[in-house]
Amino acid sequence: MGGFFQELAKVLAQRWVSLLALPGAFFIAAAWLAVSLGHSRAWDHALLVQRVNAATTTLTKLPVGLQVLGVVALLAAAAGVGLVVQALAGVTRRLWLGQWPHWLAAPLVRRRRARWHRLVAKRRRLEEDSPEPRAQVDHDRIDAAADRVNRMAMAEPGRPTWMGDRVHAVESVALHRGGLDLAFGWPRLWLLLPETTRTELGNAHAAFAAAVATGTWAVPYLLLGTSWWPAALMGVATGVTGWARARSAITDLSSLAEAAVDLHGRELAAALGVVDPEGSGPLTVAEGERATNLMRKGR
Amino acid sequence: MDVERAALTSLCREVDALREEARRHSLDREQLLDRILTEARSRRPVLGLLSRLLGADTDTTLRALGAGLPGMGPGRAREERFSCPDGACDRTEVPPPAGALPRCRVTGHPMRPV
Repeated sequence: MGGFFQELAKVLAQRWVSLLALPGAFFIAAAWLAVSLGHSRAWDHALLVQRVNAATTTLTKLPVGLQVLGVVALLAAAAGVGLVVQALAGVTRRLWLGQWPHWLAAPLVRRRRARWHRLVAKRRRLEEDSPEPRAQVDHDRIDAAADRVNRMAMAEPGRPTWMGDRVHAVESVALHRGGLDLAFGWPRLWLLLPETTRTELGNAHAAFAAAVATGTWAVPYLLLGTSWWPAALMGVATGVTGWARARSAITDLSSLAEAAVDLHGRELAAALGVVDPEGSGPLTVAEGERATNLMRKGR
Repeated sequence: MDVERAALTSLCREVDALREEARRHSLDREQLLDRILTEARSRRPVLGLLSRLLGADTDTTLRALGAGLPGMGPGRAREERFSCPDGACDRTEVPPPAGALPRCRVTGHPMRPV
């Protein structure tokens, strides 16, 4: 048991350093640069060296006790900034996943939906213009048109952002093709999923959470950019990196979630007693709807 | 299983997809793939070079080779068409991709895939 707690303490310490203290310390350093240099002398190396020398001289003249206290204060400040940014990560997550107030989301959803339907119509026209059997070149054209539709959204858009629509598509497909309402079905399905599937989903979700955390660090750097412009550049770079990683992670997460519903939806219906556990074949909409009725209980 | 052997197996299976993907990126990437194939033909290690090609560590490379690349292209689009549930009329419907299944407006029953 002692070994377990030692290991746990080590893991927690590593996470503390990587998630809070290290990025926080970088930010404190950037804040010090901002205060020392300001906008007008943002790249003044001579001034920077002068300020570093002055700070070092002041620090070395302090008694050891005060130096230790300074390091502790610095670590606490770094962790404090990290905690604030972690708290803000929830806002980034909602923003990226399109969980916006209705009045703000509705016009964008309408626009995304219209664009998606235009792309679908283009694909349909290509299909109608070249009936089966088709030449390879026609197949390629249709495949490319279908890919443009799928790259925009995997089902009819319902959220104002690309990432939000990735998640929305999983819910929409489960409801329209399997009759399952994942708002109530997902926790029950999760309990039935094999350990390997849960691990893969957990890893994809952890990658998304890490990307959201990275993207959120853009906020303090952008704020710092008001007094030292290079910090704004750092903010933009951090934000774009986090956003790009989040898009990739949400693609993995939504693909895995849809696969889990496809592969284990029947098990869920069987566990709820809606279908025969010995039965086979895809879950029908009627069966899924009966399972949903049981799960929602009139709610 | 020997990781180099696993990498060579995946490379052999997915070389066409890799070539297609490399063509979409840059000349450097195509040249790197050519180099990988030269090394593979001479039966020399390729895992390190594959990691460079895919921009990943060696463990991720093995996973990506086995899972990611074949699904990276657009795939073959599938058309869906539905007809009357019991064939009593000639109505057909093409729902939007991954959209709700069409129903007969007279009986309310789900239409049948053609």
